[in-house]
Amino acid sequence: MKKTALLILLAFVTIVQSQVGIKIESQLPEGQLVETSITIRNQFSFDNIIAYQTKCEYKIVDFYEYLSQYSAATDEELQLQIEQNITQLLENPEIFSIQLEDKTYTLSEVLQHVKAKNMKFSVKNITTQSLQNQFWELQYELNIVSAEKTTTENIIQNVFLKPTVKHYAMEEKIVWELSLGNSTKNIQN
Amino acid sequence: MNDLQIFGELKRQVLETYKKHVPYFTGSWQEFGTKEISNLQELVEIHVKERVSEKWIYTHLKTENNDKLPRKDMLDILSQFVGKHDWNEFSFAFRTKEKNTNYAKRNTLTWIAIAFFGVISVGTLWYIFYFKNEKKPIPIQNQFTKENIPKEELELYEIKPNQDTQRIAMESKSEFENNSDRKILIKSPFYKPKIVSHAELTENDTLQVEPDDQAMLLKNFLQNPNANWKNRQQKVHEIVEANAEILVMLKGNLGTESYNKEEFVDMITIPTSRMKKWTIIELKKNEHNKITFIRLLQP
Repeated sequence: MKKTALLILLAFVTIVQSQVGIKIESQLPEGQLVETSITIRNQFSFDNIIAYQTKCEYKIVDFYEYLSQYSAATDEELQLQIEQNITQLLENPEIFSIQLEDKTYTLSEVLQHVKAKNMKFSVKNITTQSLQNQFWELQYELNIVSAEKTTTENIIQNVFLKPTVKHYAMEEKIVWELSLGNSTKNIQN
Repeated sequence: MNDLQIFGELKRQVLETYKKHVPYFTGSWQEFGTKEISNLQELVEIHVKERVSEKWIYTHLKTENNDKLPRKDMLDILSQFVGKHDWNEFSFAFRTKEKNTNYAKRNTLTWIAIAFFGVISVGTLWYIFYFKNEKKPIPIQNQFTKENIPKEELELYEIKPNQDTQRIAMESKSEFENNSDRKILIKSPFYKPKIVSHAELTENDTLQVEPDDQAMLLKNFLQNPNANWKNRQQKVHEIVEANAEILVMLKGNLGTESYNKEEFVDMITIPTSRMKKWTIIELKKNEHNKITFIRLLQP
């Protein structure tokens, strides 16, 4: 019964969204982003956009807290678990890049780097710079404390909002998910 | 009130009457000189057609303390000067006025006393009534630890016969003590629901509810994430159903975040600072005693 209802729902969503240029394929792998040409502006009300902006901040803060936890973790299994938690926050872990101290790192590189330097992070003054079709560009101050030094960098971070297939056992739902894109050092400041 | 006191009043009224005719005189009997005595004699002659001697005025009116009452005929003349028929009328009018004034004073005092005792009585009755019907809190304890459960973790509902169940405040025990038809339903995300009868409510000083082990475990994991993370992961994995939906409600009109079991287990395993602040507000389980729905609140 539930399966029939889901199929009907998916068929309806497909028909409706094809009218506005969105393509949704069911039975996608967990976390698979749904291809979409819908923009955040035309999909959500002003209040919803503001609410999502705040949630963007949560994702950024969670990300750096996990990085700090990874840096402090001595148990390899725990490191793997934290890496998994970090991965869940990212839009695409395979192409994710982060700029720290004038160098650009992939996810695995940055994990090695923060571990080696025993880095701790804290974030403050998060502000929204712009809203693009599918992501926000946010700026914040990143405080990095390592064994060698303490620095503060201005970072620009993209945070995506896209419909994503989420699995609840045998059921799947399309939910709008925030995920972190690449971050770069803000050279303008 | 004796006659000398009434005569004192007559003197006062004579002086007042004189001042009405001679407004520029503002003094008392002690300042009453020859000229004023002459004027008074003249005024009495004009208005009463009688004569008052200068000596009499000196002896009886100018003196401050009168030892004896003057003659009745002189009192009649002065009484007529102040508008009365004679001394008897003046005396009677004055006594009556005094009596009324005293009565009014007594009356006022009586009313003040009545009001005072009224306020005291009402206050006392209110005090007795208030404390008799004081909304005694219903102490609800964990059945095993015997510890009082915080109010925030409980919801009480009143079950009335043939009526909808209504949520009630915690401080309502007295409201149920006189009504044997009513029952209370105790609900909590951390305790098994319990329906309390009128008898149980009135006979026991405390009510006890049985904790829900899975809910308690989750609560403990959220509040004390320092426990062994693998154990935490395994336990949460065991108690949460595969198709469970976890909603995190965000305050300030920020909506909700929706997570599936895998995401939730990962978050409980390694919670960040904001996740540690989450509180469980609703929890649903299936017939296999596994959690199928969790509603959390992020402050």
